[in-house]
Parts: sequence; C-alpha cells; structure tokens
Amino acid sequence: MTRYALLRLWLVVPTLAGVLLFVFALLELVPGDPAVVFLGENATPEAVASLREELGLDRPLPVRLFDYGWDVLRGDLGQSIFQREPVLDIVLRRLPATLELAFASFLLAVLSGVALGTMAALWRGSFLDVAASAVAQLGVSMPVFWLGILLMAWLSVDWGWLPAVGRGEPLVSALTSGDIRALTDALAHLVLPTVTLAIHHAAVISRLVRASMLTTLHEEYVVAAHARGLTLSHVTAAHALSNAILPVLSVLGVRFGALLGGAVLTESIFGWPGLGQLAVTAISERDLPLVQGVVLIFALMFILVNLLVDLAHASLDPRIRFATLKAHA
Amino acid sequence: MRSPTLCLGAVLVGTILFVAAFAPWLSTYSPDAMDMSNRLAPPSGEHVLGTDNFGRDLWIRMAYGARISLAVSLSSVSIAVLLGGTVGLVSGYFRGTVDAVLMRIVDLFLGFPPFILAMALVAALGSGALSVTVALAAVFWTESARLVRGITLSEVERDYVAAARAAGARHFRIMTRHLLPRAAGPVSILATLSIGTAIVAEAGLSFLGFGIEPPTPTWGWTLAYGVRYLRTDMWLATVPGLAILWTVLGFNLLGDGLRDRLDPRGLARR
Repeated sequence: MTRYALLRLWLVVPTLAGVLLFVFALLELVPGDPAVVFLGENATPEAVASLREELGLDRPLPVRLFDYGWDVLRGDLGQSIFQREPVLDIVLRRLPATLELAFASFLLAVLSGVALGTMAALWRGSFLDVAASAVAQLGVSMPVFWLGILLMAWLSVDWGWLPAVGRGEPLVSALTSGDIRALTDALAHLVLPTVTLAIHHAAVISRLVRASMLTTLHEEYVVAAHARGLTLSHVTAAHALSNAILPVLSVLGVRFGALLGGAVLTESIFGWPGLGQLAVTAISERDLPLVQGVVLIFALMFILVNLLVDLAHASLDPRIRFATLKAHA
Repeated sequence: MRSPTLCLGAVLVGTILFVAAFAPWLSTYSPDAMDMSNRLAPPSGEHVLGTDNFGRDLWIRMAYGARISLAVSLSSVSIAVLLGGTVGLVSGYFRGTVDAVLMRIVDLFLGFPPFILAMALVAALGSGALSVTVALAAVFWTESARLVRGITLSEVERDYVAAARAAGARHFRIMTRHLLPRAAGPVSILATLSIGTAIVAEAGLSFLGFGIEPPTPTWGWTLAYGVRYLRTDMWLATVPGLAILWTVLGFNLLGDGLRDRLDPRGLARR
C-alpha cells in the first residue's frame, strides 16, 4: 500500500503542473490587450500601462510563466484588479464556506444515494424500486439552479420554513461553541443549499449502487451466505454492499468535481458567501487574477479529493493497487 | 421488444427538435416584440405561457430559446466527439510516446471541475455563443478521447486488425474502416448523454450571466430573470425550468435507452 500511495502522490505532480500552466494560459486566451479589456475602452493610457506592468504583460512570455509558477509556489497568487488586495487573502476568506457546503452535500449525496440504491436493489421490481428509479431519473436531469429556485420558492418564500439566503455562523464554530441557537441557525441556513446541491449526485449514486448491487446479489458468495442461514441484513451489509460499493467509490472523485461546479450555481442562488459566489463576481468584473486564483483553488480541492478517493479505493481493493503499480512499472 | 425509456426519450427530444425547427411558425408573436401594457400576464388563451417582464410572449421566446440551446449543445458536443474521437483513436492505435503525450493533455483538462473549466474559459474568451461552444467542447472532448482510446486499445490486438495489416491496409484505413465502426455505438451513447449535460451547462452559464447575452432569449437568462419575480409571478421561473428539464430528460432517456440496446457491456457507462 505504501508503494501505491507514493506512486499516486507522485502522479499528482504532472497534474498540478498542468493545472498551473492552464491557469497561467487563461490570461493569454483573452482576445486583444487584456489590460484594455479589463479596464474598459475609456481607461487612460497611464492606467492601462500601469496594469500591463502589474500583470507582467511587458515581459516576455517564458519569463512570465516562470515567474507565475514561482509566485504560486511561494503562495503569491497576485493582486485582485478591483479589490486591490492579495488574491490569496480573498480566496482563503471564502474557502471555509465552500468547504462546509461542498462536504455537507457530498456526505448527504453519498449516504442517501447508497441507502436508496441498496433498497431499490433489494426490493427489485417493487413500487419502491420503480419510484426510486423515476425520482433518480428526474434528479439526474434536473438543473441544479432550477431545483434551488423551486425549493427556495416553496420552503422559504411561500411557507417561511427556512431562511432563503445567506449563511449563519460557520458550522464548525457553532458546533464547538455549544451555543444551541447559533447551531440551529447555522443548520437552518445550510439545509436548502445542501439539499439542492446533493440531489443530482444522490440520484447518480443511487443508480450506480442499484446496478452494482444487482450484480453482487447474484454472486456465489452472497448466495452461499444466504444458504448458511445468515440474515438478509447481515448478508447485505457484510457481503453484498461492501463489494457493491467499490465501483461506486471509483466515481466519487468525478462526482466531487461535478459537485464543485454545482456549488457555484447553488452559492449564487442562495447568497452563500463562498468561492463560487466569488468566482461569479470576479468573472462579471473580468478580474482575471482573481478568476485565476479561484480556479486554481477549485482545481486543488478537486485534485486533493481525487487523491483521497483513490487512496481509499486502493486500500479497500488490492486489484487497483496491483493494476496501477503494474501500469507504471 | 420496444423499450419504454427509448420511446419516451425519443418523444421528448422529437418535440423539442420540432419546436426549435419550426419556431417562427409556431406563434404570431415575435420573440422581441414588447408590450408594456401587458407585462407579466399569466398564461391565457392569448399568451399560452404568459408574458415576461417586458410583455414579450413567453412561448415564442422559449421556442427560440430551444434553438439557441440545441445549437450550442449540439455543436459543442460534435466538436468534442470529433476532436476527442480522433485523439482517442490515434492514441490507442499508435500507443507509446504519442499515447503518453496525448493522455497527459487529456489529464490536464481533467484536473479541473468541468463547470469551473467552462466558466474560466468563458471568463477569458468573453461571453457569446462562440465562446460558450468552445468552452463546453473543451469540457466534453476528454470523455470521448478516453472512451475511444479504451476501445481502440482492446480492438487493435484482435486478429482482424492483424489480417487487415497483412493484406496491406494503411494505418489510416485500419483506423477509419476497421476500428472507428467499433467505437461508433458507445460514442453515440456518450454523445447523446453529453448533449443533456451540455444543455444544463449552457443554461447554467446563461443563468449566471456569462453565456449568450440578452436580448437573445436563452432559457438560462429567462430563468435568472424569473427569480426576481419569485414572490408574485412564479411561472416566469417555472416555464424555462420545465423547458430545460424536458429537453435534458429527453436526451438522458434516449441515451439510457440506446445504451440498453447497443451497449449491453456498458462501455459508455459514466
């Protein structure tokens, strides 16, 4: 396992280099003179020249690429054009809110997806199975932003059950402070965005779990476990589910990436003060250094979660370790 | 046996294609004609789906929105499949250094959460239909590349390829005549499912204000505008949402149905 872990860690390096190169190249993709594009046609020549210098546009491309890579490694993501503040500071301020929302949704999606998928497979062909399949198909096709709006319209605007926008106290500090009111407030704000973001992924996961469970339930070792007189719940939990979950684990990394994209839309609907909302503001203002910083952090989160998922997958399934080690021997 | 999934998907996709194709003939209203005396009118005999905040007929705007949505998603997925298919075919056929280099490029694109990648590209390229198409193609091409590469890698070892080679067939002929047809089924399934995802992504970008700019009647933008009237005129956000759901559901069901029929081994499973 150690050899696999080291190899997997090493494989992150080219991915990180590629991500860095791409984020750097974003500025090169801007049509025309980026300084003019960002400041607008009416900007004074002095302002344009000064921004060109700030963005490093007066230096040759290879020098800029090298400087950018070096700066990022030192933790310097540049200055925001409009907020006149280091990008890293702005991004780090917004990161906890996004982490809270993303992980709450991810957890909800995985737990409910696995539970629904397992039940649908166990009672195949029953009303529950048919209903779960229909709901999953709708959940997969439902645009996250429309779902958010509908939930907000019903549960907040019409019935006033939950707050429509904003974030309460950070969940972690509400939990540690022991203040019940702060905690209820934090959870109340968290419910709608979390559910909105989770449903699509819960639907995808439930379909995968169902298909995977159906295959596993007919494996000989499961049939043998039944024959030995073990109870349905024991066989399901100890034999079928633990094997059916493996193919699901392999898609969790990709799911998390898609979930981060959905977080941008969810945050902007519910006024959730995270990185997604920051990305939207930065793009509308064409504050490219800030856009680059946010994109870089999103990519880092994605790569890190992929790494963790792969490590978890490999520790549960030796076949993955051997295949990967063999491929890179 | 006819698959109900496939049939329902075909019906949903068929209706939306019909609406998009015949949009100008489906209503006497123009999508841009404002009628300020008739703002936010609820659905009625006069305006089947009501009017928006400028008194424009929502039905005809949705019909024109279908054109934009389908044009952007179909062209971005076509570019993605062409590019990704070519890369995958070349990569899987030649293997070695070519494969290593091409797959590193694929990995680069896979380092980003897909929607974030599309947003970043639109941020750099500027808004508009062309930028959105390019951005979405950049997101989707990697899936076809990996799918076609995987199929090519396993097919290229088979006897019929060796036989074709022995008969003197050139690389290009083997790739296009022998290997490509093997990938066609799974790729068409992947493409169908990608269209659904592309429609949601395009609507999402328009919803955030980064896609195709108003007054072009996109579904995403109409939906974003509808949010402002959530308290009083709920249907303004409901109608475009339903249009998106209808279309995406259609493509997803069609893709699932095609998969059950053409790809029982599940190569194109995502």
